[in-house]
Amino acid sequence: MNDAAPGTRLTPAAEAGRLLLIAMAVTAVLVPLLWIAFAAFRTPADLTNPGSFAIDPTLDNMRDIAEGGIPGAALRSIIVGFAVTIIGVFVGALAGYSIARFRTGGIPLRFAILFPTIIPPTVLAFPLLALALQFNLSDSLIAVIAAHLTIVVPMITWFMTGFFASVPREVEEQAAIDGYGPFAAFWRVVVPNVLPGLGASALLAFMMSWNELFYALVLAPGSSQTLPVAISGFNTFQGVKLGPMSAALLLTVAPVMVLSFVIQKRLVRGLGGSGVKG
Amino acid sequence: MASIRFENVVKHYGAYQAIRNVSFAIPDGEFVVIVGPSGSGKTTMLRAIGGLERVNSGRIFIGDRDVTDLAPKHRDIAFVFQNYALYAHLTVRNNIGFPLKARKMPKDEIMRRVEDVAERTGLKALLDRKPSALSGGQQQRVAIARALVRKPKVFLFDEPLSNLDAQLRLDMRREVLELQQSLGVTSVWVTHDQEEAMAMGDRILVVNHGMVEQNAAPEALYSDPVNAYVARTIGSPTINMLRGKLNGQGLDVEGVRFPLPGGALQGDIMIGVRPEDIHPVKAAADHPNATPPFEAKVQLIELLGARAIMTLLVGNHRLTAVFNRRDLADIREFDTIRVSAAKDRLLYFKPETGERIRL
Amino acid sequence: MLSPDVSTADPPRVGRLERLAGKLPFRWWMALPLVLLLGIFVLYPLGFSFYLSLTNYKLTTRNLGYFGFEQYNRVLTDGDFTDSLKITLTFVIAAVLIELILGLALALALQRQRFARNVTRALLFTPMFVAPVAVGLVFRFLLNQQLGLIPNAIAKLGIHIDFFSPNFALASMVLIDVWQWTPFMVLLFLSALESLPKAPFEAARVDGASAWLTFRTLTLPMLMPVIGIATVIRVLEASKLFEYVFVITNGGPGGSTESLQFIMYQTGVRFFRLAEASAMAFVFLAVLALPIIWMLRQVRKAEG
Repeated sequence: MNDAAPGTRLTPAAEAGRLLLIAMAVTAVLVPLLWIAFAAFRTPADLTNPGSFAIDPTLDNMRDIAEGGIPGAALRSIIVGFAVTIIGVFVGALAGYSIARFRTGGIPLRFAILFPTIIPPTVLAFPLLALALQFNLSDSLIAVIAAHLTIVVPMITWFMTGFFASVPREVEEQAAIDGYGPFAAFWRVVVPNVLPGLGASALLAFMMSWNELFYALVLAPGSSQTLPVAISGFNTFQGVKLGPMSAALLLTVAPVMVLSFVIQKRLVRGLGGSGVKG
Repeated sequence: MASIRFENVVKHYGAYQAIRNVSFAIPDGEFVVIVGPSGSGKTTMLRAIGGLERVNSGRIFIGDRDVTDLAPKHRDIAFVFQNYALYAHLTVRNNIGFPLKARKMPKDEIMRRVEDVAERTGLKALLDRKPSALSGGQQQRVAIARALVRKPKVFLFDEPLSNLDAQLRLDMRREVLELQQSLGVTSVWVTHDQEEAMAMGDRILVVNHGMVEQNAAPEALYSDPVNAYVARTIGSPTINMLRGKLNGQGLDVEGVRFPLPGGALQGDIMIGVRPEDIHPVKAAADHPNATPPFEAKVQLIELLGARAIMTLLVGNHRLTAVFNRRDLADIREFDTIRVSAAKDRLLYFKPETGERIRL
Repeated sequence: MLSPDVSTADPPRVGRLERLAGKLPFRWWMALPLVLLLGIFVLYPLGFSFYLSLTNYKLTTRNLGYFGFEQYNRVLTDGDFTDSLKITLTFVIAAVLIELILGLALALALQRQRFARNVTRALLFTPMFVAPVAVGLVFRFLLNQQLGLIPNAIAKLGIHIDFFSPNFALASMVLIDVWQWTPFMVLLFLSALESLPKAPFEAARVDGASAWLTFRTLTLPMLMPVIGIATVIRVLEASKLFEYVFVITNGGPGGSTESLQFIMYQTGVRFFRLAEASAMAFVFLAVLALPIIWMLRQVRKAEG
């Protein structure tokens, strides 16, 4: 299997340039990431000295944030993430199947799905806040979950449409002949074929929810903060405490980095290729 | 077991007519082949029998039941798709048992039937594999086993052999026929391969542009086609069609004379001569009832073992002929030879409509 | 031998392949959750937001009475908004352009990479998965004049840049955006490149075309659709610039990084002038109309 680019080989100069580009890119990516990793374990003295690197690792920073609001915020982010993922995958998969198989709603629906992802969040955030206030849900996670769903569900629907379209119709027809109704056929025969797509969708949904700031900021700014909101709070004081902030950053960044490694291979294939073959 | 009947069935997709007012009857227990080129409507007809397509008007009967408005699962039919439509995530065993599970059959009964059918289709050793670990032929058998296990009234096959290589195709053909013979279940088989159709069918429906051109046994289609389309569709290599004017001395095709008799016919006509009915004159003794000989230049010889396909040039008209190896003897390309045609096997057609004229 | 089989008794007048017992066709049952979600959490707020923009609702006068298009008037004549528009536009153009070029170059470079192929790719994709908040904060300190690694490092090479000065702050925003989102471009382009047919390229190789010529006449034209999509997606996303501004510059210094999203946030949440903020949002939407219409066209094309 030869995945490398077809076509003309590069001149030595071009090849050198190519490698240089990649090396620079890798460096550029690594520096900030490593900085987070190290900063979380450095003493205040080390942190204020740009030249030095971790010589004296400490867990003080970790301990610091364990006492504050960060763990609670992290927990809330997890709760929101799971809720958004589960609901999002369910709604998105059903809708994606409906659109892929039956072209439900035609162009208007397809556009309606795109729409929430295009518009600036401010358009939805304030009314959603008003809505939440109505139901006494201000500063609550439910509002955040709802807001996140408006971004996640369209994305999953779009994403899964491709996967569902590549399941041959005959398999469903065969299931129908064999005696299953349309939903049973969907559940037993179509879904097993798109599990990779569903998995990728779930991961993407969770990541997106975990990272999201704006809606969480507007809808749950106070005691129900999610992790990104809590972290942005490190900004409001004069002398920002770098140590604890770095630890909090590590907490925010680490889980998603791990997940991203899991998902990256699937993404390249899913976006460019044709999806699952039966 | 059941007969199948189409009554004035019409199916269109918007402005496109897929089935134009078709009626036919298939007796119980027969193996019927629907043959035609792509887009002729043959698959649509098959799917209509199965209930995968709804028809716009007309009625469909399986046995005595009017199934026109019934969903596939209520028609008691089994369908084998061109690409097998196996459930990739299930083992062979579960693939075969799937339709039984859907009908909520007790587990031990399912197991018994699956084993039984697997035995019959030679799949016993493969029961715990997944489809991706099977060869094309084996996947084919699984599809057939799944169809068998329900003991349906009708089997429907949609070009199931087109994805197999030539030798495998022949082997599977034989297997399916033997199976059908032993079971006696009414079967409808769709294919674009006329040779396959001729080999397999008790009866063949030749389909063209949504209409059934002829519905008859293979022999009848071969020797007594109802029009030029059927004559061209059946038989390989394709029949030679000569269009010209008949007079007392023979057929005049754009200045070239073919010494073919016409009986009482005169004027514009189309005469069909099958390649296997053209023989070199040396062997005329083997073929009584031959037309007077005429000259032809050998353009191309395609040697196929026991026979050879000859491309002959008469004037500037090409004729295809099939010679025995024996008859070929010392004939070489670019030789000019004398040939004659079997008089009693000629087919006469009206030139504009292609309708057959029986002398 | 062929005994009558299980459960094929005459069925009731049962429906077709695609209908549930019920009034809605199966396909609409499947799409119902989505439609409900969109209706309640998108359509309704959208409508309410528009209505808000026609009122004079703010902290002091929580009045939902009709106020005409006055808010829009204010917004459009307000220097702050139009400045913010310029800032955001500048940012978007600079960021997306750089990301396109850099992303394409990297994708091409990665396509030919054999050594440590998967690891390199996995690594280079990570920035887009990191929370923008986190990215903002990290760069706040990496680029900090006193404590930051980078200004100190490049000072040793003789280059002195104050990354968050009024002149350079917006450029720093662009830098951060490029760091975070170029990988997204790389992802799209790489996927596209790998799904291009191989045969034309091998033919070009046999014909003796140089790599550059192949790129110019073969690769680039074939990638045009993806480039279009990528550009529109990034433009729409980049125009929402908020996190970096929020955690680093807070709109400053001197208002040089006040992106549209930021001033809308300020107007709506900090100053609680909801009506005005809503009007801003719709003006913003109008500005984005072109890319949005383009996307609609693509959807139509895809439907056939």
